This record gives sequence, structure tokens and C-alpha cells, in this order.
Amino acid sequence: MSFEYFKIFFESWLIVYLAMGYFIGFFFGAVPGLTATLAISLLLPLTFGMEVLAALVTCVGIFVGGIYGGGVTGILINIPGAPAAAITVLEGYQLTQQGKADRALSHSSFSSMIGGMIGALFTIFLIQYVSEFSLYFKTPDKFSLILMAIVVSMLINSKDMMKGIIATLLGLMLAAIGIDTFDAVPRMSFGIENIREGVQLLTIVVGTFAIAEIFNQLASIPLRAKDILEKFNANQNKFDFKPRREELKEIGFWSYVRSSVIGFLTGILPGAGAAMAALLAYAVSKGFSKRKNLFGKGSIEGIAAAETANNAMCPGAIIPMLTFGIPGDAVTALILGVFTLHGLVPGPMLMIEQADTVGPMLIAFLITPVLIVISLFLFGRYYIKIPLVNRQLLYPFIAFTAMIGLYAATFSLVQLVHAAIIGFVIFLLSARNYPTVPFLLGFILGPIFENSLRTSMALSGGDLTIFLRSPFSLGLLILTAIMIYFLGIRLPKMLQEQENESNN
Amino acid sequence: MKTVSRLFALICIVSLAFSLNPVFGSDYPEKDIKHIMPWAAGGGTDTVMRAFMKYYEQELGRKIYTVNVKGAKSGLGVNELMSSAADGYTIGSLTYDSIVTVPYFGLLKNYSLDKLQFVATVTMHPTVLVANADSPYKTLEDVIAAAKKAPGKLQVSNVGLGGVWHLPMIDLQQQAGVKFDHIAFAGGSGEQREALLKRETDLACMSIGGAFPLVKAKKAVILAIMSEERLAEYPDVPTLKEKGYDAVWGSLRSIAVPKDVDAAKVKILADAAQKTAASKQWKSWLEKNGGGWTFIDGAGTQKYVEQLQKKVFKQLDELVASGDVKK
Repeated sequence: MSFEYFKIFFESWLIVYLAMGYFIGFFFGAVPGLTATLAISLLLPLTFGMEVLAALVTCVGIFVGGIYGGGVTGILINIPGAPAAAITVLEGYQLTQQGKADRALSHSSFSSMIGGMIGALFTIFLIQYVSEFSLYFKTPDKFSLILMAIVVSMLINSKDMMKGIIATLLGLMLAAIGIDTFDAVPRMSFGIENIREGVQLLTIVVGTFAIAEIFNQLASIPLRAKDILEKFNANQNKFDFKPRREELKEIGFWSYVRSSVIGFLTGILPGAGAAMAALLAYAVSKGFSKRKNLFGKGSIEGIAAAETANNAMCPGAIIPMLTFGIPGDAVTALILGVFTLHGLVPGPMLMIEQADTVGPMLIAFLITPVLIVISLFLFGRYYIKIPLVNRQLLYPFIAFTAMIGLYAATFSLVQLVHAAIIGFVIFLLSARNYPTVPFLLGFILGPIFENSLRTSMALSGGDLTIFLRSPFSLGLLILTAIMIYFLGIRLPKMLQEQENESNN
Repeated sequence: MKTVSRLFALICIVSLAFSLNPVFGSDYPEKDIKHIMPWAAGGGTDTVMRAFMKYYEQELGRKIYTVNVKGAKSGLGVNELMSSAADGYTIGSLTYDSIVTVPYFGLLKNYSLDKLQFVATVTMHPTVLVANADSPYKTLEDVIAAAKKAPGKLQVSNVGLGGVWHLPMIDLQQQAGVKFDHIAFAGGSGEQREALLKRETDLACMSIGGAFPLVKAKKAVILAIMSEERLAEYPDVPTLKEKGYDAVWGSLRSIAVPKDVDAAKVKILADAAQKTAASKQWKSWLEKNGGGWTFIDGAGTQKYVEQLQKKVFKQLDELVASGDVKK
């Protein structure tokens, strides 16, 4: 990776776009109910008119900022801004109650920086090899990888497996609406002209994340500023953000490396996501720790593990998207959207033909983590103001922006109606604990899932064993089966036992 | 104070007078023109037509803004053009699918090309048969011989059965008395290129524009081109015609307006299109982006479209009857 890509940030406006992206992502991540996915989807219509590099760099900033921001509100007031932050909140809010919010914030951002940078370095060194390898990765292998992504995200994101399966299938079904890409026959349109074109990704994202969330807010009682400050324990907490030497020693160098590797690998695995990365790293760190008794009571080690891992996940998650064209989660799917909007096709040719675009984008993953720490030192003492934002004002504004953006991108009133309907349905479903992430991933991966299946079948003349004959495909299928066993069967049982034990 | 308000009033009057200007002069076009692009932003057609519009608006002297209305294999966008006001301020792009696939398969109820009149055709990309540079197939004869030896084994990619890259191969296979295995990659020419690189398929049938990146990178070779004559850019590549197969295939990009736009306006649009097409900037842009320069006027396009429909509909009827394509 050439030094040129570094220089370009400081010779142009790119660094400004990156910082802007980071702060937008951070804000959306930090405000409970808003997500980085929503931030990118609001921005997507704007990227039509942007330089492709500026658009991508902004997305990277949002992605990383969103993951980190989720932990901040969680630490301060015990409400995770994003699911990825659940572990950080578990430990961080304990510290806040003890009057040590600054310690929690300090380590959440310091570890985020380390994790993010290590993850980015891994990605920069590996991308060329993965990209070359992807030439051997054929259509049946792609099918198995997508299958794994769908299954894993379903397993990880749903508490009730039946509901998870239903949500995933709903996503896949919605994706099937429209004109059959192989045969030019309309499917599942019930004769309605308006849905012959199918449902569009942006519409689904706006419906699922903006509209549904507004219904959610209408249905819930807003937190008052007084309660928030009470939760924060305002009198006791100070703002000294420098990580102390003894704390760093306590965490230990290897712990950072370990968590980074775990996070990075989880990122490469499509469908697993940041929450999974944090959970795994946390569990492993607990196993290695000398102070296991502190875990759950405000352990800095725990925060460090979780935040290192979920930030190392971000650059990792970009790898399958760039090399195989398979996004592992909603944010990378939208970044893929930016790629296709600008006519860049992921795959083995991308690194050869578009190195000048991909290179600086990867460097952005290396620079953003530094922003995390800078912003903590500059603005850390004001972080508590973020949950005080008047959400009654914020939400209509976001809905308005989302709808305008959607209209600007599609020039179609029909899409607005679709978004509203989808939003309402998703609100009803999520109120009944149907998970939204598998739904969205089902919708995003649905078309490439179908295409890779049907093309594989055409290649093999209808012979299903094509998926077992390729070593990569076979390996991925076995891995999927292992995942189903551990995440779908073993884990719920273990949790059940744990619950029983604590009840006795 | 008084002078200021007087000055202000004067400015107002003058600017008002200027804003009334178009009322007095009535030269078409008086305002910006909307261009409906029926394919996704960033795709091949979008990129090429946006580039054309950039030079076209210089000739017309008004801004042209592009709106992407994708879906239904370009049907939705063209459908919107059909139902637009016939005031000359909405134009649209059409491609092969808008002319053949959408009407033949009846993808939209009220879709009919009779509701349009063509302004011009600005690119024509001949279809090509491509093989991986390291593959054993170096010439068209190799391919035909291999297909004769093992009927139905040689795999050729397209982007959809019954579509623009599938039919040429059906044509060839009928004329040569062979049979290929047709593999559809619904993701588009990007996937076709990838599959060719990975040797998943033996051959790819695609537009010369689509094959351009691979050929330029010397990763693939063009075995045959389906134009009337050899191309100046690829003098060594034989046409199917000279090899004894009467198969001329290509994909075009045309500009059209609603039927009732009056002739004077269409003439202005057509003349500007001709000038744009002849311009150096446009020619050099195309050369850098895969070539395919052509110019056919409105009447010529209309004739071409009718011929194309007649020829392809008949072929599609046969394919539907034999069950190779679903309707």
C-alpha cells in the first residue's frame, strides 16, 4: 500500500469528509434508536453527486464512528446506542455508577483506536491475497458463503429462533418481488404495476430504520433530562481521559492483540457483526484474566476487549464485500451500494482496476480510529449532552430527511408509500420481538443468493452435489453446520442452564 | 434612505424585466430538459448516456438533467417517457431491452413503442464472443469444432435467457448446427467477466463495451465480432459474417421523445444530436470507454427497430415453443 494514498488525505478535502463522516456516525451511534445504517442511508442520495472517493471515505467514517458511538451513551446512562455496544455497557455503566465514567470512556476510545488500527493494518496487508484467492472462489462457493451469512446473522440476532427464521424468510420473500432476473417474468406482484419493479433497498432501509423507529418513539415514554443526569450520577464523575499506566498494564499488550484478531476474524465472517465480535473477545478475555471477579462489576479489561474487537471488526467486514461482492451486514451493504452507484464492481478485478479508490478507502480505516481519541479529548466532557438531545424534535426531522432523500434517489412517490408501509409493519414485528437485522440481511442477500444458486444449477446441469464437490463450498457448509450446532443448539441450552442455576 | 429604496426598486424592475425575457423570445428549448434514464445509475448505459448528455446540452444551450427510473428491464423508465407531456422538455434513453424484451414479454400493460418517436441512435455496440486468454479456444473454428464434438457441453455465459446476449448464441448454434450450454449470470456483465476469468464458463457472449476491460488487460481475447464489417479498433478480429454465419447482433442506445412532440422541436433535438455525435469530444470519450460510435437519425432508427423486432420476435417465438425460454 503506497504512501501516496496517505498523502491524498491531507492534500485534498478527503480528511474533512472523513471527519464529517465520523462525527455523523458517532452522533447517530450515540443517540439511542439511531443507527449508523440510517446515517448512511440518509447520505446515500447525496453520494450520487459526490466524488466516489469522498463518498466512500464518508461512509467509512460513519461506520467506525457509529460502532464506537454506540458504547458512549451506554456507558453514561446505561442505554446502548447500538447492539454492538451491549458488552461495553454492561461493564461501563458499573464504572459510571462508581463515579469513574472517565475511566470507562477513556478505555473504550483508547481500545477502539487500537482495535481499529490493528484491524485496518490486517486488512491492508491481506486484501491483495484475499483478492487473488477470490479468483478461485467460484459461483457455488459464493452460494455457500451467502448461505452462511444468512444463517449466522439469523442465529446471532434472534432470541427466539422461530421468530428469527420468520424474519429472515420475510426478507428473502420481499427480495423475490419484481421481475425475474433470469427469465423476464414478473413474480409475486399480484398484478400491481407499482411493485413490478420490486422493492428497493433504500426504501427498506428507510422503512426499517427511520419510519419504524419513529413509531417506536411514539409508543415509548421519553426520558427526561433530569432522569438522565440522575442516571449519569453527575456530581461524582470527573473528566480525566488519559489512560493510566497501571490500567494499561492490567489489560496487557496481548489482550489487545487477541481481541483485535478475534474482532477482525469475526468481521471477515459475513453475518456475524460487531456484537458477536465484542461478545467473543469479552468471553475469551475473561478466560485469560487474573481478575475474573471484576468482570460484570466494572472491569476495564472487559471494556477493552469488547471495544478493541468491535472496532477491529469494521475493516475486516469490508473484505468479503470488496473481494466477493458479499456484504456481511447492513452498513457494508450500503457501502456496496455506493460502489455500484459509481460503476465499481467488487471482485477480483477491483484491486487491479480500482486500486486508487480502494487504497485510500482502506487508509481511511487507519485514520478514523485516531479521530476517536482526538474527539474524546476535545469533546469528551460534553458527551453527556448527547442523550439530552430532544428526540421529539429529532425524529420528525430525520423522517423528513429520509423521505426527501428517498424521493431524490428514486423520483417515485410509490417508494415513499412503500417505506411507510414497511416501517409500520416492522414496528409491529419488532414490538413482538421479531429481529430486524436478519430481515434486512435476508432482503439484501436475497437476490445474490438466488442468482448464485440458479447459476450454480445451470453450470452443473441441476446437480446439487456441485456444492459438495468444491472444497471451499464444502468447508463453508460444514462451518455453517457447526455454527448451527453451537449457536442454535448449544448456546441456548447453556443460557437456559445458567438461568436455572441463578434462579435456584 | 430614500435613495436606497429607489435603487432597490430599480434593481427589482430590471431583474423582473430580465426574468420575463423568455416570454418574448420563443426559441425552443427555453428551459432545462429532463432526461429519463431507464437503467441504474453507474451502469454501462447510464455512464455512456450521461456523457453524451454532457456534450448534447452544449449544443442545445440548455441544461439536461438525468433522472434514473430503473426497473422492469428498462420498461418503467421508458413507460414514464411515454406518458410524459409532449412539450419537448422530456427526453429518454432506450436500449435493446426497451425495444425487444419489454414489449415481447409483456412486462408492462400499456407499454407500446408507438407512443414514442425516435430522435437518434448514438451508440451501437456489436456483440462479441470472448474467451479467456489462456483457454484452448483461440479461434471461432476451435469453438465450433469443440461444440460439435461434445454437444451441449461448451458453456457460454449471458445475462438472462431470451435476453440480448443469449439470442446471438442461439442464432449461431442454429446456423452452425451445434449446441451450447447457456449459463445466465443475472448480476450483469461484471459477473460474466468474473466467471470468464475464473474459467467457470468457457466463453462469454457480451457487448464489445462489456468485454473491453478484460481485452485491454489482455486477460481475454475476442474470437468473433457480430458486426457487418471488421472494426477499425480490432482489425484482426473476424466477423461472424465473413466466417459464413449470417448473424449480425448488437446493442444500441437511442434517444426518443413522446409521440406528439411537434416536428419543429424534434428537428432541433435531432440536429443537435447529430452535431454532438459528430463532435471530437464525444468521439474521443467513446474511444476511451469501449467505442461503439454510430449515428442513425430518427427515421433510420425507427426502421432499424421495426426490423429488429420482426427478426427477434420470430426467434423468441421459436424459443418459447421449444421451451428454452419462458414467457
